Amino acid sequence: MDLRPELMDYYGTENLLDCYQCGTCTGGCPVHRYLPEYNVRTIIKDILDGEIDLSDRALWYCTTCYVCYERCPQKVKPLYLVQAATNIAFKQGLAPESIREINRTLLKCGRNSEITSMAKKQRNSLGLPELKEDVSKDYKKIAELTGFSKGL
Amino acid sequence: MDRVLILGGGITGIQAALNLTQLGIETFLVERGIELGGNLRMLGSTFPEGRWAPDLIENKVKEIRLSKKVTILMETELLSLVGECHQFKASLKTPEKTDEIESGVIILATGFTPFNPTSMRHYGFGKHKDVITALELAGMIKDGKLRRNSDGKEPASITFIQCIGSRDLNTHTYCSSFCCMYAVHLANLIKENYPHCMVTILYMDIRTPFYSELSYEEARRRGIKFFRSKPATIRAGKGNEHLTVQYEDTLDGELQFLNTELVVLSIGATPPEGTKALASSLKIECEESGFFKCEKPPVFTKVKGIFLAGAASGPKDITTCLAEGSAAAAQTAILLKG
Repeated sequence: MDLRPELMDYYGTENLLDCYQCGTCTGGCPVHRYLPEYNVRTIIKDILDGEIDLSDRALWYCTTCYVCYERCPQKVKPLYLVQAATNIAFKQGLAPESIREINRTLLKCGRNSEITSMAKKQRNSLGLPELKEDVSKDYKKIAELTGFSKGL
Repeated sequence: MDRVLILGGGITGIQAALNLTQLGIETFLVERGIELGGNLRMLGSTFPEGRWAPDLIENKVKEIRLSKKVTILMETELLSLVGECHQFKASLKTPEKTDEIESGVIILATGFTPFNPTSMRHYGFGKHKDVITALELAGMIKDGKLRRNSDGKEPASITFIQCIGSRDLNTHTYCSSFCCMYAVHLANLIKENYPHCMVTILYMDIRTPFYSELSYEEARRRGIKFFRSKPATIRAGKGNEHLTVQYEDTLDGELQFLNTELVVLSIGATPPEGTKALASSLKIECEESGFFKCEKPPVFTKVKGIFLAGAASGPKDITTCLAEGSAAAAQTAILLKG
């Protein structure tokens, strides 16, 4: 898919065309070291070629450690390109089920996991105050305004 | 006023001075260092054809010294300049005193300063003794002593990293143009003199135009390995016996950990200190790169009577520097005699 026109609306993607594919980003990427299917350089290459696969799970492996951002000799900000790609993927409903699941929970109860009876018991035994059940009011509002709910 | 003031006693300034004396024009050659020859003094065999740098300098300097038309001023800097073409008045600071001299034309042959890679911390320069610059390596090969700084042993493997301080928005955006050529030349020299040494060159793009392409071909035939990558980091291995270069081979997307005994950083060229100040006192302009701006190649500036030659207007190889030194001398003669 060709993201290039849409990407320009995202933060920090203005130097995309300066990428000369040197591999500094991937070479230092801690994720790539253990999950070779996540390759920042080839993600940028696919974006440049206008043929990125937004349903690729690997897009979501970035840990936002900023090593690629720091070292990129062309200040391409690879991290922000990956983030923009995941944002677009999410909007189109192409995010992996696990990611969508977390966000559904967030909208449901305002947390990324529901409060279990076990958690309630533990808090009680530690003398911690009870958690409010549903704190999702603001999230729901934001989700509506930003179109976030569409991606679910 | 038929006198010429040349700033910079490197190979370019020497060439310009030599040609001007051959044309019978009185010349002042000004050098702020203590020796003539500039960056070339640190080199031995130079690309592409292996000319021996010390001979190149010696032969020309000998000829200049024999001429009565040239005055060489060492450890001298230009303080200020007034006037215009045919009647410049330069104030020069020599070790003993401040001199006022008149000159018709000024040639700027101020050259370049090799890039200092200490700012690139992920390459460990200054931290690991066996990460050295290509200039240091050239010096070792010149003296016939290829050694690791850490233990004095001859390295069994050497890895070059290209584009250090060049083509990088964090340092300098321009291509220094000669690094690929000297790296390939040095790699060939290593293979010639130390055939068992494994040589690897990590590059982004190999730029070896004209005859240097033959050196590149020769290098590949000799078994020097080329991988397309800009490495991420260099770390010291156990007991500092070797260094590990971590990089992605961008042609197959594989992450590599290359163990090597010596890492050579192929450093580029930077504008010498004081270039901007000199430009403003001469009322000429600088490029975004920090080098002097050449208004009309090869040698013209905005100001009539002030010429640029060699690396003063950006990184150049020796052959081009010699050509521009001669070009500046020719344009000077045309201006003075025309």
